[in-house]
Amino acid sequence: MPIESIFSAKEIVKSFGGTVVLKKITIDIKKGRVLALVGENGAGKSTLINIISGSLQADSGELYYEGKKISWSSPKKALQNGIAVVHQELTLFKNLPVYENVFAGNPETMRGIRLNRKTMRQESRRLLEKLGMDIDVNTLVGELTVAQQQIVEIAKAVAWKPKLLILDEATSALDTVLVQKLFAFCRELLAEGTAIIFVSHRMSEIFEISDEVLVIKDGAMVGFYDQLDGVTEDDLVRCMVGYNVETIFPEKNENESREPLLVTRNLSTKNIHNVSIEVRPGEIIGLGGLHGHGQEELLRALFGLEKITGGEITIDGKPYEPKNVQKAIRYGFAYVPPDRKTEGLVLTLPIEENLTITVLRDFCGFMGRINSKKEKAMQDEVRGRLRIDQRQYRQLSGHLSGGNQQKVVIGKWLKSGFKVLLMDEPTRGVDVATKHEIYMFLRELVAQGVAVLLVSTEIIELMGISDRIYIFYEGSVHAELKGADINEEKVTYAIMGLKGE
Amino acid sequence: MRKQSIFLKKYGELIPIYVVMILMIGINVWKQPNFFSVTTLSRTFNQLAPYIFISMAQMCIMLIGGMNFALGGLVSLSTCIFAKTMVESDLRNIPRIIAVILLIGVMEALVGYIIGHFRLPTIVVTLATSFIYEGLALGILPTPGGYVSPNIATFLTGRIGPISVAFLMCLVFVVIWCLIRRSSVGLLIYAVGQNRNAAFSSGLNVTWGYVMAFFINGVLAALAGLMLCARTMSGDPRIANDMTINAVTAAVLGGVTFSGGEGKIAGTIAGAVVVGMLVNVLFYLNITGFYTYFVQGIILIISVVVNNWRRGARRNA
Repeated sequence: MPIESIFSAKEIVKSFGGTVVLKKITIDIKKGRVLALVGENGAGKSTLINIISGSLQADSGELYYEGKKISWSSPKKALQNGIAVVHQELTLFKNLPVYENVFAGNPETMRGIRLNRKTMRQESRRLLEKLGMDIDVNTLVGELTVAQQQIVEIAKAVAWKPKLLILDEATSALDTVLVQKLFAFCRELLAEGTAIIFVSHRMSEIFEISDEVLVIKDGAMVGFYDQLDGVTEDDLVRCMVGYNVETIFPEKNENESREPLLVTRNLSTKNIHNVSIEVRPGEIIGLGGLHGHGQEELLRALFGLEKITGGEITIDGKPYEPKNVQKAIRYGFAYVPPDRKTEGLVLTLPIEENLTITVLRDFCGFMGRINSKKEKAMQDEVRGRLRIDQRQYRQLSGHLSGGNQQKVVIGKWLKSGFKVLLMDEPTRGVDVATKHEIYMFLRELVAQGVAVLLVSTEIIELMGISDRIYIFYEGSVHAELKGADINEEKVTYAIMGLKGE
Repeated sequence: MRKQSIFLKKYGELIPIYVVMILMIGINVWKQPNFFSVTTLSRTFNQLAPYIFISMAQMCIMLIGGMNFALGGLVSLSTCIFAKTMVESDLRNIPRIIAVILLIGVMEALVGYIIGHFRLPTIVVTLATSFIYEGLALGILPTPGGYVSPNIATFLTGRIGPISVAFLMCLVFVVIWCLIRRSSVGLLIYAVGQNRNAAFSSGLNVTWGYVMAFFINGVLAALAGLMLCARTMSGDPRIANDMTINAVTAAVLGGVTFSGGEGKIAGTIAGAVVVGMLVNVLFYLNITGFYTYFVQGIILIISVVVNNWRRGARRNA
């Protein structure tokens, strides 16, 4: 019996100002099946999704929904007909309570212009519980953590009772436990006949949930697998990047002998307690744990962004008391924030100016005049070292793909003379090839004697890149893992707050 | 206990503005011992009502994002239209007044439609309409004058029993606003104000949000104009032009933010009372009217700083 198709797109073409971003894409989505869409950043996945969901109109090509030819004029039309998207960029209203966010625009809870708040509260509570999130639905969304907001965003899409649910990087802010809850929920929906389009950069997730995989590269279809038996991660990655990535993580190096570079003793802030860690030069230290268990706050505290309530820090043998960011930079810290778009970059400035923004003083002469020759030399060097893919002179950072943006965020610290690089989720939403480049680059950096502290909720990354791992649980260091102890079982156990054997 | 803490969380940020408001009333009471007499109270309300209406109008636009530069001009224009259309017979005046209020509302709704449909910045468009309204007002009534029915003016500035009519009108509109806030239109306005793109991709009708916010804003501006007509017994093409900044100050004092989607009517009203009483208070404190603008500017800056600081504190909590 052939499985019924719910949505199909034929030969979709879309271009933005002369650049063709989708080249005759044809897809077919069937009831109760999961189609994974994979490809590097900037391959055209989000554009395709925006066309399916009515946010953008295709230049040419046809869309069929439940057998009928359609063209959506707005997301509203698509939503009303049962196509809901969980967007990569959250579409939430931070000053509205959770339940209003979940049902904003949803006619389900409207009686004319009146809102049925009782149903809104009940239903949002039920949906959030199913997704494994126990939060008060009256809380303002702005007070939630990123992971909690992501779950609200998912609940919002599901509340439309979609026939086609699109998850665009919906798992990138979630830890393993929440991803499993989400998958369990998705399986329920699939059993009811819902179709799902799944986009993720995590290969393990794709293999776990998908029935079919479509690979897109530079706006064109380069591979399609109608089942995943016998297909390996390498096959997909090769297809995606167009060349063979032998191993994505570089060799580790072990040097226990050197004097510690950074030491904290019983460091405490509002949400972390008595954190004592040691970091040696040349090391990449992974900080693991579920979201909000303190690892992110440690980085922020070291960079002078949180108030220290107790404990001490020494760097290079000197005592250090983080007061503000300027002081942190003076003492040799650099920080790559989790959200490059809002904290890492000035999107409306070109790459060049973003690269020199942290070290501008070095180029300033009389009355703050910038020595543009020196500045340009530095920009060229950094761009070369990080292999930032720049298409035109003074290209705006906002127009770069996620991976390239992340390189700029790292690049702007290169000349600041840092000793410790603090990174919070440096590869979130970054494609495999760029991830590999970033990892290689980090190894290159630490070989010169600096250290890297890296927060990641992705276990594979944490294990692959770290020489040692500190696992955080409820604001304290729960376990320190190194060498052979770094394996999936031990890490997962520690993350859950258990002492695994 | 739990109920109380929720109340505090929701309305706690309004405490400072209410303290200031009570302080202002206190100065009035101190200098004017018969403040609580029925006649003085109703006179005070007649003076405050235009401020309250125009501040609520500004709040509507600030909530959906932006600011209405044309508000003062619009109120002036509405006094001119009222003074031009009123006739001797009061039976025929009542439908005329209602028609003018709706006309102003629809005019503004059209502006809202243009802003929403073409995705224009509110501030630029309302700057343009401010010229249009001020010009129109001068065309309709080049000098202050026109005719305002004495019966209607007496009624609007008078009392029903011991309660001032101006107060009742404000009260009715507050109740209406609370109903709107609870409806899908209220949710729409707050959602669009917080994140226009998110609202669009959530399937909300963004243009309709602008239309409704501007319609409510127009009706409120017309009511402010009506109260000014009743007090001055005439129309005046420039009477309220300076009130745009008063309205912004009042809304910001009441906790409405410039970035949109945040603010409460209870705060805005307290802000309007403070701004409206400022002139009196400065007079009692022997500060010349000359400095009123100066003081208002300072107050506006302080309240924006306080707002920001409070939001920052809440984010870290």
